[in-house]
Amino acid sequence: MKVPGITKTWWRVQVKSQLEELLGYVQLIEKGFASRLKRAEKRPFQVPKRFKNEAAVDRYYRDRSNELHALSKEFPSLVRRTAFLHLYSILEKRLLLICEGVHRDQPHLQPLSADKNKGIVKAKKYLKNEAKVDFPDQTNDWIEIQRMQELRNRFAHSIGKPMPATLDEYIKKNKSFFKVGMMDSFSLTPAYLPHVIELVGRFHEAVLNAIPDETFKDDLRIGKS
Amino acid sequence: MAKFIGVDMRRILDRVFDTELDELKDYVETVEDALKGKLKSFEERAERRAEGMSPAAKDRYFESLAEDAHFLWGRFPALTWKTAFIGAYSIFEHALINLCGHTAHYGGHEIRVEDIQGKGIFAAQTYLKKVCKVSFPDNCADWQDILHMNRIRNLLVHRLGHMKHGSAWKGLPQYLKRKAKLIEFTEGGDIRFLDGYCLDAIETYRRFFKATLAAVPDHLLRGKEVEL
Repeated sequence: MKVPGITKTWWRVQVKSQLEELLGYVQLIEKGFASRLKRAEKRPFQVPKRFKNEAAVDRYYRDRSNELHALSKEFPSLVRRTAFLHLYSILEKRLLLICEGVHRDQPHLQPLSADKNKGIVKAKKYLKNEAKVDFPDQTNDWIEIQRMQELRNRFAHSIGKPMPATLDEYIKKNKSFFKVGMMDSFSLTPAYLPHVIELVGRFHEAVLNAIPDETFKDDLRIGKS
Repeated sequence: MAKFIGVDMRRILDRVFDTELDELKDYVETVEDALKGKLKSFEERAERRAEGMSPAAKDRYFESLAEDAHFLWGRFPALTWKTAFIGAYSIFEHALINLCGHTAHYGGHEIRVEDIQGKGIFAAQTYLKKVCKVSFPDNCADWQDILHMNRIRNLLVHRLGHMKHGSAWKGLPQYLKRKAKLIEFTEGGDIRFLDGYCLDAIETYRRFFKATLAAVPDHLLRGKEVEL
């Protein structure tokens, strides 16, 4: 017996709401930091009278400037970086779930676990080579997703290691998305997250569209009886 | 007279790690605070607007706001904790790998941590134990917790926090029992962070890194003493 599973339409709604939630989150938090920064900046730099000695005064100035630095640079940078990692997880998980859905519908295919690759490369190879899906890997979006993968690996594992040349070029080319610092350091600008969230949504849609309807009959079944 | 004139790398690594974790902790607390403030003003505004409505209209009105409220008190704090948890793990992993780099340098070891099989914290563990002969504190409770945190982190990064039915690892139930008010799995297999888990994880990393640093002999973390 076939039970109603997750249709392509429902799948799209889920992805859309995940991406919208993430964008809403980043925007809300960034706005929160900005308004706190505004309040902090308005507070006059005035050493409280109870601070008698030089060390206490020094500490007061250091704490105030740390606060301003945290609200203006460090915290926004952290929220973008961590949100980016989360976005990449959404992308990877969704692609792998599509592969699992394909295998459930076509059990004669090799299981996904047979492929030794990982993450998005595993998903691509599975869909393209095993399921013969016209995977959109000849697109600019896929090229950028590969850079996102390098960026994600850099944030997650390899701070301090040499930067891959392709990522270096990506960062230098996209000045509106990255603020380059010294010695390979860089941070994400407020424009980057909305850009990649849109890209992930678009790419996901392209992958779904590449999966033939006659294979799925508009039904990516997650639950089967 | 022999005098140490080099850099005390132990102190520097300790301070850098502490600072990074403190920043992350401040960040989590600031975001939590901001979300609480936002929720409070959201509720106050809703109450104000609902004044004078009939009970039925009030119900409908509050129902229409339920999703936004749920984001503010549930989803967004959870997203903050999960993403910060992943960030804390990266900081910890990087600190351990960095420590290996310094012990290689001062100990004059040609083998680097990158040459070790395995990845991340496990490569660092092997490197410090086998190559640098450090009595790596992997018998302590914090390391056992870190092993669980490593798997939780992998679940978050690769499966968005969802655990397939029947794929729980050994010792997880006991870990969840110990951290009962901090973390749980839903019936559907999704990780749920509760208030305080992320900060608890940060303190676990902090304690363990300090214990690791303390286990590294002096000659592996600072320059040689010289005759003056």
